[in-house]
Amino acid sequence: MVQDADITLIDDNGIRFDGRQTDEMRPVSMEVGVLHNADGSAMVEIGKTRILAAVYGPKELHPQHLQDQTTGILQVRYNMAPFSTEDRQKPGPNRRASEISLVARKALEPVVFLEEYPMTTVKVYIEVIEADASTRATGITAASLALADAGIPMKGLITACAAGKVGDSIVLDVASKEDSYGEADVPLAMIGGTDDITLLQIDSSGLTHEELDEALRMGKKGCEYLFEKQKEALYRQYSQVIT
Amino acid sequence: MTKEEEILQVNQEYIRRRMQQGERKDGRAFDELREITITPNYIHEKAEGSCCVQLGNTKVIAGVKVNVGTPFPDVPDEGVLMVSAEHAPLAASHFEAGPPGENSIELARVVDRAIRESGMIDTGTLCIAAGEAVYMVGIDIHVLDYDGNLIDAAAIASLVALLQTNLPPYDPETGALDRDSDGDALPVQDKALSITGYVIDDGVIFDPDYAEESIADARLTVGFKEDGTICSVQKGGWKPLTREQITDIAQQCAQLNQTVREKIKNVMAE
Repeated sequence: MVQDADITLIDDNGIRFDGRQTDEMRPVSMEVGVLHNADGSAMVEIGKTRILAAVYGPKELHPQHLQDQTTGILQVRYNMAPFSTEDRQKPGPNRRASEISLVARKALEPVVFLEEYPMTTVKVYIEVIEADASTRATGITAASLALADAGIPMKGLITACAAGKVGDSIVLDVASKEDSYGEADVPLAMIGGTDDITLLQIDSSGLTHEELDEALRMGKKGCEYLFEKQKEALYRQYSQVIT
Repeated sequence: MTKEEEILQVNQEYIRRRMQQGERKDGRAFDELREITITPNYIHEKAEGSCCVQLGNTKVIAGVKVNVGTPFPDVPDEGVLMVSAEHAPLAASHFEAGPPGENSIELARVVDRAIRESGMIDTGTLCIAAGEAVYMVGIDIHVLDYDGNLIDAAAIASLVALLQTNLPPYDPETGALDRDSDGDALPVQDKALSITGYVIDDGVIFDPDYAEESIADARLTVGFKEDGTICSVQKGGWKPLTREQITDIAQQCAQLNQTVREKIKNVMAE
């Protein structure tokens, strides 16, 4: 992590550089059914981070040797649009994107009833339109909504957010400045309404065991908030007959 | 045959039948565009200029990134303009992830050609210090939803994105761009816009959706400068075109070029 003496990320009153309390998220908006072609889609914005997720399937899986007679599979691709970051992203997956694709798949899989669709694949595309930290967490939240929008049977929604450490404080929903100059980034994903964590990664310059516990509590609080927002977005789309 | 292919085939037969009666499947005139929504500045902060264009169900973002780099040795006092395109797999079930295929490359080059040949961007004005530092302006075309006529959607998005673009000031001390400052607007000498006509059997239609585009025998993309002169052309598809067909399509493209320019002008004035 880069240390920079010029930047005050959190003041003595526990107010963060962008005016937030330690346990406060940036403004959140969620919308499902935003794309025409995809079987399911969602746009999730948290602060300046904007993610589009699209789902296709279940459909026949190619190449055939990947087909499984007992279950369908989930294929996840996390991708950053070239103009989504300060420095242009070279198109195509790099090592970071490949790893995020993997952990996002592992985060989503536990709730999807893939065994109902043997031999098939469900493709999930997470497209970062604009990045200001928490892109993997926000991408997973969006992907879960897109899966629901596609009508893929699931036992629950997956909700993800990032806790972190800034100075000596554990905070919720790190912004990109806090990610770059703070002490820890703790993205986590949970099965909505439960205590089950399906993704956890930590980048930190030093976190005590107590701080880890606090970060997990903070993360759960964030997930609970986002879970309500997810349900609201689905209700908005599906609670009335469109005439 | 998959369900999607079956639906497409039924659609294609219907389109042909209607066209023989001088009609389109959705009731549009042959030279009528779908509803168009232009959203300038779609990328709020990270891009130096951007625009999202929706043509019917087709949705494309053009994002402009400005970087600083060393000029090519043969043109030490000229900046660099680049156009790239990506058919992101979320945009259609038949798009594959992977390095840009020939369709992405053609899309980028056709959009690039109109901008470049119109002289819209004078690369000389992108020079910061000859031989040392120049602005490199990159347009990335990102397809989010594909329902036909990507070239025109991308051309509109690219034009508006460039008109929105600011050049962040160059800091000679650090050799980097100061992206927190607004900077000056990218100098623009002209406004390039392309319109594409699609030939199906004996008819010519504009702004096709995916099903219409999928049975097009040929297409002709004509790029125009602001004064209405032609700055680029690309013929696509398998079917040869006659001189009469080409001049006729170019005339129709010129008309629509005016229509779209009016729409852009209205959006920019808001």
